[in-house]
Amino acid sequence: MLTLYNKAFHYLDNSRPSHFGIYVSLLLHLSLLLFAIGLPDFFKPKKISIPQVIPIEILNISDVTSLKPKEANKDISSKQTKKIEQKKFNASENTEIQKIDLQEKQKKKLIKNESVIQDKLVTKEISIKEKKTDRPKKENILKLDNPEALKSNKIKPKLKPKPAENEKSKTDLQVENKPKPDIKKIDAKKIIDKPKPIEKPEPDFNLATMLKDLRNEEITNVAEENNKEDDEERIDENDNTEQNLEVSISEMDLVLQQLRSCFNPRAGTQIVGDEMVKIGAKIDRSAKVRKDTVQIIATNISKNNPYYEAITESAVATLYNPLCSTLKLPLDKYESWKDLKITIDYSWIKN
Amino acid sequence: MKYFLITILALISLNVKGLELTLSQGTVKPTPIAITNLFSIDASLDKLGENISTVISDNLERSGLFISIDKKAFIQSSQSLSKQPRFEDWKVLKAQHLVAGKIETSGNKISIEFRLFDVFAQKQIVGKKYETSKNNWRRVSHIISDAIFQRITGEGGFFDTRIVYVAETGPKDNRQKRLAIMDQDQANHRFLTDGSYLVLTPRFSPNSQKITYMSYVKTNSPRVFIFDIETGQQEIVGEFPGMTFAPRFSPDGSKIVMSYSDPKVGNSEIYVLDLQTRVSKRITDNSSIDVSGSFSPNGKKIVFNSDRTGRRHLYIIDSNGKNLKRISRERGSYYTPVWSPRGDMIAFTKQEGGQFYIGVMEIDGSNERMIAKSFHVEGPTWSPNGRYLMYFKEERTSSDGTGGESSLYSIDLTGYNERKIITPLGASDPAWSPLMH
Repeated sequence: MLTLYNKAFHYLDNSRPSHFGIYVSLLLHLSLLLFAIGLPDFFKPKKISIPQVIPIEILNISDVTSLKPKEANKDISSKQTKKIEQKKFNASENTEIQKIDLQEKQKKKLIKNESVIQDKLVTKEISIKEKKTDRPKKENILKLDNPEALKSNKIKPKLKPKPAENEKSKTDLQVENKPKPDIKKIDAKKIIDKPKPIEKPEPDFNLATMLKDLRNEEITNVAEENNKEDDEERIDENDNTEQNLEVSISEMDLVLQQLRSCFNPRAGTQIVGDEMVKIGAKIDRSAKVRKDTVQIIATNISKNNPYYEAITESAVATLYNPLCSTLKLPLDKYESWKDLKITIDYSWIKN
Repeated sequence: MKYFLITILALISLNVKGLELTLSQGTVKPTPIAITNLFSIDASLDKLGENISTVISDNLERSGLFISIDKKAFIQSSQSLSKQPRFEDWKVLKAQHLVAGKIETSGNKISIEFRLFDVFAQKQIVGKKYETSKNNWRRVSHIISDAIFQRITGEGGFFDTRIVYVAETGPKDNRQKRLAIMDQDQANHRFLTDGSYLVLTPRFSPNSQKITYMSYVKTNSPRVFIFDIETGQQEIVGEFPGMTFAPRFSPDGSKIVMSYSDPKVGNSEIYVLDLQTRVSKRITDNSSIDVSGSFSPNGKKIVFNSDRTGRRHLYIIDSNGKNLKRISRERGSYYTPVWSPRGDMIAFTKQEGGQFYIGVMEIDGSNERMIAKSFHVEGPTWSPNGRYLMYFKEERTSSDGTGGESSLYSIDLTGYNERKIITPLGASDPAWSPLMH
């Protein structure tokens, strides 16, 4: 370093005075460049290259397996076949990793190790053959800290469509009436090996299921058909649940606002007190007033009042007004408004 | 058993589900009404059917409470309407009510039939038939208008009525004043007097056949006269000492309330004159000027104005002269009080701050409202249903002597819908007749 310093001064001492202007110019240009760009930061931390994130499924492994004895598996195997057919290619079930609950401590450890095991977990299969009623020993659980240690012969990569020669390995469980290749390609043995003890598992969020895979589409179509049946069931359930739904204040405000524009008390009607008319009507599911159902339920107006007809008729006309032929009611809460009663207060006209 | 029934009812009421709303606001706007031409098989009656329809339509529109739908927009013809209305066709036009009818000739007379339909409820709500001479079609139109108005609003009509007023011509310092009468829609106008003598403050009798007014005929001092519209005869109500003012019939037509200044008393007082016995009874007894008496609809009370407090104010007194009570409380001077046919309000003229007003107040003097204002407005008179007021408005006279014309106006009690009444000459002192049917 020192020699370089001396050399530089030596060079400057021996340089021609006529070249001095060039040096100054160079120096100025350099200083300008430094001002514009700035000095490089040699001490800043190095860039960390973040590897591409591959989604994983976080598993809860219970201390008791939920596997049923083999006899039970046979009974439910046919039902499960149908369900498995609906599963997407990347669905967590197809990774053949069973859910087992762990104690809290073990969960924490698992989460700590996520980053380490993520790649391997996706590609590896853990199968727990039989239901064990005994709690696993502590040492065994600790071994799970490194799931790689749970290797078995059945660990296989994700399901992939297999060529036609696999037809030889068909079992009775396969659905022959539906010649959809993806469905057939699901290994029946694996289906048998992995019975679902709980028929409707909790819907876990799995990023893998959101990734597009064209192979899923046909399966998805089948699933959609089956979902329709579920939807119908849900509608029936809603019919039962909508009975408990009440029209909210904002929904009431909306329909009241509409009714205000339809309530045209006859111009000229004289209101002297707190005249009111209560009308009732049946409303159909499309929120239309059923014909000939509008009627006066109660009123405090005497029939001797010369304005009786004008007042009561204008009340009834509110629901016959074409502007209110379809009421702005929440259609999903039909049960709560199918019988509509409106108390029409005329006292505001007096003022 | 009783508890069992209560339990059942309670269970039923619990089981009844539904939405309950309270509507305490709406939209008050003129009612859209479709008035079709009256249908006739006889083509010669088509024009008449159209005229009747037009008069009805004009009447209802003038009330300010209805909007007539343009006939050009009608989908269903009068002919098919005479059988059965297609309500959907009228709903499209946003008509809330529909008027249809037909005319037939029966001998020398015509029969006019009309039906009023509630379009929303899809039902007929009025149906009537009249037989009359052909010349009387206009009056029948007014009667039909009244029937429609009453059925829809619940309020009595006012279309089959007349207006009597003082027609004025000539310069202000030499103005000729004649009695004139016309229908409320300004049709059938005619003069009752020839203008050779001055007439003032005409008022209808309850049966609309007689008019009482003040005139200077045959005498230099004003006298109260009664004019018979049918015969054209007029008579002095009576000879009273001093001047007589502002006569007005009692609701039963048997009496007249007026004021005159008896020289023995020295000032003007309120008197009630029995038209049969021609005996007058003094109602007020005060050293001030008491004028402009008007009976309440039941005839038991009289409202008048008096300057007994220094300014002119309104007072109510029993028709037997007891229970005097001042009702006006505000600033200004009050004149020409008139009791509403409904009995709930009193209309008056008020002068305050160089302006004249037509105002209304409740009979206890509360809720005073001014509904018309001008350089000079005066002489309110009520429509028979107590919903409208008519009065006259005088323009300011310019420095060159022009102007100073006076005209009649009508206004809704709400203070809206002020309309000028078209008269052939200048007009003042209107009086609205009771219903003639």
